[in-house]
Amino acid sequence: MRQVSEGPGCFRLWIESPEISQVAQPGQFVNVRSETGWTPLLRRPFSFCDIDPEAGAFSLLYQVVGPGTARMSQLQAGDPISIVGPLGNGFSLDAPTRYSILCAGGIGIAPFPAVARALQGRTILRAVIGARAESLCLCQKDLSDLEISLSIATEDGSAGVRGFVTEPLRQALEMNPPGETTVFACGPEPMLAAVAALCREYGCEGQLSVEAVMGCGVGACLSCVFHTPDARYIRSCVEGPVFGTREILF
Amino acid sequence: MTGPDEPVSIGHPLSAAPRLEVQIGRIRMRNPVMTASGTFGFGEEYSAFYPLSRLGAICVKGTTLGPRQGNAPPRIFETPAGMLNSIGLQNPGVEGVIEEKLAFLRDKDVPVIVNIAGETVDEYVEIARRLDEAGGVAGLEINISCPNVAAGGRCFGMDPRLTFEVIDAVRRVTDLTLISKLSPNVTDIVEIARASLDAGADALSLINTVLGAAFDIRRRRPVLPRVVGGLSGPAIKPIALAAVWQVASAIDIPVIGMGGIMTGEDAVEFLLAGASAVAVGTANFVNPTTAIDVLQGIAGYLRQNAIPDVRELSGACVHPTASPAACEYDE
Repeated sequence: MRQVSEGPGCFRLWIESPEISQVAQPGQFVNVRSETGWTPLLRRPFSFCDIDPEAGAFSLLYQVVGPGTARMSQLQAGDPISIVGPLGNGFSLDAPTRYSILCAGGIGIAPFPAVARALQGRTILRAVIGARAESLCLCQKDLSDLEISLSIATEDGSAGVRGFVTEPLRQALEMNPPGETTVFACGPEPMLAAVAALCREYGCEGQLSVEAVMGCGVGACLSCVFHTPDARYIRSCVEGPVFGTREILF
Repeated sequence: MTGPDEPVSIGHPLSAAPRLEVQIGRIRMRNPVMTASGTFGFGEEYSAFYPLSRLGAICVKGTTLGPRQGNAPPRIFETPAGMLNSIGLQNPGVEGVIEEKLAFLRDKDVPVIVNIAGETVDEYVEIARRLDEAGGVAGLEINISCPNVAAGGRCFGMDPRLTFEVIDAVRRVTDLTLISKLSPNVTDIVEIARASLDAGADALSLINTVLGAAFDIRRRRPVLPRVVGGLSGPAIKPIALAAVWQVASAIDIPVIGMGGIMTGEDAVEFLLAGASAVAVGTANFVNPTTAIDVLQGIAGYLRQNAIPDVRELSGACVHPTASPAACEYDE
């Protein structure tokens, strides 16, 4: 286990686990607990950032937002950590369309290094990243190492265009033929809602990785539900966390 | 760990495995560890982690007459050593449960207890009748204490007369073991427990979640859309232990103790307070194998303290002279 600082309050935690890294799929997640007491009580879900079956290791990219992630950021090699996974359904990457756009908002970039490596050479890839500021546009090197063209939007205008990631996404969609393009998106819920609307507008496929407050992460507690168009609730931990744009409502 | 608070150990540690079987109503359980309703789905998810047959029994998700969508998210919120939930009894309805869920559980070699919730006495009766006919059910846990929906029956569990009415009506249509699940949010839980016994309940589940709320001071609004929810987890363990002890001291009826059990030691506390069995709830979320860890913890405690039968532990602090495993502590 080792930690790499990725930005202000952002870390990449590498964990050795041959069992998990050999079966993990991009877009799946693990449910993590590193506490010794009962506060915080519940596990926290993190999607796989890197999956390296040869090294028998995987990584999680996370931002310190509360006491659980603060404690995680203090972990050092040899400290105990409890991990349940891999869980959930990842991105569908078996038959990629001719063009693929990776669309990330903030820490929602987390699953895309693994997705990009899995898709590399099988589709024409570009990435659009949005964040509050340049320092929070993470994983740029992962994408540039794979020679993926990258567009950035920041809310404070410190890098790329000023505004939300939907701006560069729209530009990318303008350039790609809709029937041959898939958008892979991960980020906050308002962003995913906007991405789903753009996918509808341009008539292209979209796969959205959602973030929800999870209780158990295995499908039992029914906490992390999203509404479906046919007025049911589905669980993001089991049926997701990756959903098609037509599977859920925001 | 040892220290001045260690209980006196009587005799030498057991060489043979302690006896763990308990009986709740007509249900013979191979050990006293169950799962609490609403924390274990219908068993499917956790059967990926261990064979369900290792448990004493499972109590599945609250089942209503028709399907229920559940409440709008967010449905849970973490609080110190606990969590609030407002799931809202999402379930496929009794017919869906019979067709989809009980079919899965049929060959799992574990007694299945179905938690039932209705809006009216007639609904409880109808759900009970259908589950009785369906087969594959060992017992019914009558939920008269769900805080999260109008249909959760909480109004029944607040009033001894209505408690009697609903359990009496269900008792008349089924011979299945009936377990009355009580709310801690009452002035006198013993009164509700007694009404349950008088109406023919075979056992009690103590306790359901504690009513709780949380507010978001940044947005200045409640965290949960319905404002109040059910508090569970280690935070409520002392409340649950008090309820178990109060009821077990006053009434002769088997009690299934639940509320914040995370470890074998927690479970032993419930047994000492008078529970005959225990249920693991929120801890299933924290660690999917907690129920098995709790079972092993109980067995280890019995071995270390030379108690050959878990039933000797039950109620050891309720009638202090009745058992060789009575609570004696070093002065």
